[in-house]
Amino acid sequence: MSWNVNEPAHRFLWRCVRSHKWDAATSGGSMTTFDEGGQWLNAFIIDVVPGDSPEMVRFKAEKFILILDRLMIDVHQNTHEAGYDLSKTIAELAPLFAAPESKLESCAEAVDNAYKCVGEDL
Amino acid sequence: MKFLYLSCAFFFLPIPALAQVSADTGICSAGMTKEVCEAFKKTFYEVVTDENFDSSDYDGFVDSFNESFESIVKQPEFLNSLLESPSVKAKLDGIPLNMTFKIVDRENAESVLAVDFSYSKQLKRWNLNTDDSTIKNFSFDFALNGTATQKAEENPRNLIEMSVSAKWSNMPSFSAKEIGDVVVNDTCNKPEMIDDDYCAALDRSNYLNAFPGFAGTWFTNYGFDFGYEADQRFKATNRKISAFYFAAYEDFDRSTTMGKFNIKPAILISIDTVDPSAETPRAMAGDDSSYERISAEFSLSIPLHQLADIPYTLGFSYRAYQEVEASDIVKTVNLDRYRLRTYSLNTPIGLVVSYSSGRLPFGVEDENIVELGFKTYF
Repeated sequence: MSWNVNEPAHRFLWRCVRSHKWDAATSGGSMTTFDEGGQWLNAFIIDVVPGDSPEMVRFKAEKFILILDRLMIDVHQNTHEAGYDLSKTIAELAPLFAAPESKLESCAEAVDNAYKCVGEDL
Repeated sequence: MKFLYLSCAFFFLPIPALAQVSADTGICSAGMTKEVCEAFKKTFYEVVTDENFDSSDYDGFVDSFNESFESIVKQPEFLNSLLESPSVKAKLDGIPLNMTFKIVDRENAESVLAVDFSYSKQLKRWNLNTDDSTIKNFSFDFALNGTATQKAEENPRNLIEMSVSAKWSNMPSFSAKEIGDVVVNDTCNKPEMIDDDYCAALDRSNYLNAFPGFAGTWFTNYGFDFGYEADQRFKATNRKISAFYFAAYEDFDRSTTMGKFNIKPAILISIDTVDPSAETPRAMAGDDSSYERISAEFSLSIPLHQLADIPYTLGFSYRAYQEVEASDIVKTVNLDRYRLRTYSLNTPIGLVVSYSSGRLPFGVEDENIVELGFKTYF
C-alpha cells in the first residue's frame, strides 16, 4: 500500500511525526506537506546520526515508537488493532523505523496494521 | 552472508544486462526499468551531442556510449533510484534488507562507491510488570549492519556487525499519567485538511499537552549481546559477548534549554569479552588471545532550526573501544584502542555531509572520511 492521504493511518502517522518534528516541518516558513513528509527519512525522524551503531539505532527506534504510541492512542484517540498492544507495536514497528535509509512512507502499512484509526469504519 | 552478496551484486551487474538496446529502433527495450531507460537516453543524448561525435565511426560511438553509460549507472543516485523502482522493489520484496549506495571520499586515495546495508528484527518480546511510572519489557533482538565496497581493501568502514541481544527495557509509561488538555476537531481528520495550517497547529498544541510531567525523561535498556564482528571478506572475525547499558534523554518541557532546542543525547556503554580469529590485525601482530574490551558510544542530535535558524540538524557520534590490560605487543602496534568521531549535517530527506575521523575495530590506521549525501538539497 503506497503513501495515501485517503488512508487514516497514513494521515495520523504524518500528523504525529509533523508534531514531533515541528521545527523541521515548519522550517523556511512553509509547512511540509503530507506528500513531502512521506519522503522523510526514518533516521531523521528517530534522531539517528551518522556513526550510530546498530544497537544505538535500534534503541532510538523503540524510544520513538513509545512516543508515537502515546500520540496515536491518547491524543488522536485511535486504538490498537486486535492482537496488538504497546509491546507488539514496538516489536513490529521499531525494526522498520530502525532501517536508517528507509522513508516514512515505507512504515505506513505496518502502522495501519497496528492501529484501528478514527475514520477507518466510515 | 546472502544479504551481503545481494548488496554487492549491484557492483558486478554487467552493463549489457542493465541496458539492452533495441537494434531496430535504438529506443529502450521492453525489459528495461524506467530508471535504466532514462539513463540510457541521457547517455545517448550526451554522446551524439558531443562535439567530437563522428556519425561514421560506429566503434567509436559504442566505446563512448559504454564509457558514458557505465559512469552513470555507477553513480549512487542512479543505483538508489533503481532500488526504489517498483520492479526492483518487487523483486526484493520479502528480503528485509535496507541498502543505500553512496560515494565515499577518502584522504589520499580515490573515491569509492560503497553500499551501506542494515537489517534488524525483534525476535521475541515479553511484558514484565508495569507500574505507575515505567514499562518493563524483556526481548530478544537481531541486528546486522555494515558497509561493502567493490574491493574489500578499499573499504574505509571495513566492519560488519551482527548480534543477538537479550535485553531488559525500562521506558516511561506515558499512559500512566493524565494527558493535558487535548482539543479534538473532527474536521482535521478529513483527508483534505491534512496540510491545513490550523489543524497542524492544533496537532502541535495537543502534542505539547500530551507529555505533562515528563520534563526530563530517561529511556534505558540493559542486557547482553552475543555478537560477531567481521571484515568484508569475513577473514578477520571477532566473536564477542557483551553486557551493555543504554540511556537516552528527551526533554518534553519546552521551557528548558534541552526541550526548547530539542537536543537529544544518548549513550551506550558495554563490557565485551572478545575472541578474535587468527586473521585479525591483532592476532597477526602476535597476540591471538581472548581479551576484555570496554566500548562506549555517545550520540547527540541538535536541530539548528531554533538555535541558528537554518534547516539542518547537527549530529555528533563518538564511538570508542578500549582493550583492558592489553599486552605490550598489542599496544606497540596501536591496536588496543579505536576511536571514531563523526560530525554530520542532516535534513529530513537525507544527509548533507558528514566527516568521520578515526577507525573502528579491524581498522589498522586512522582515516578521515567525508561522505556527501547522494541527496543534497541546498
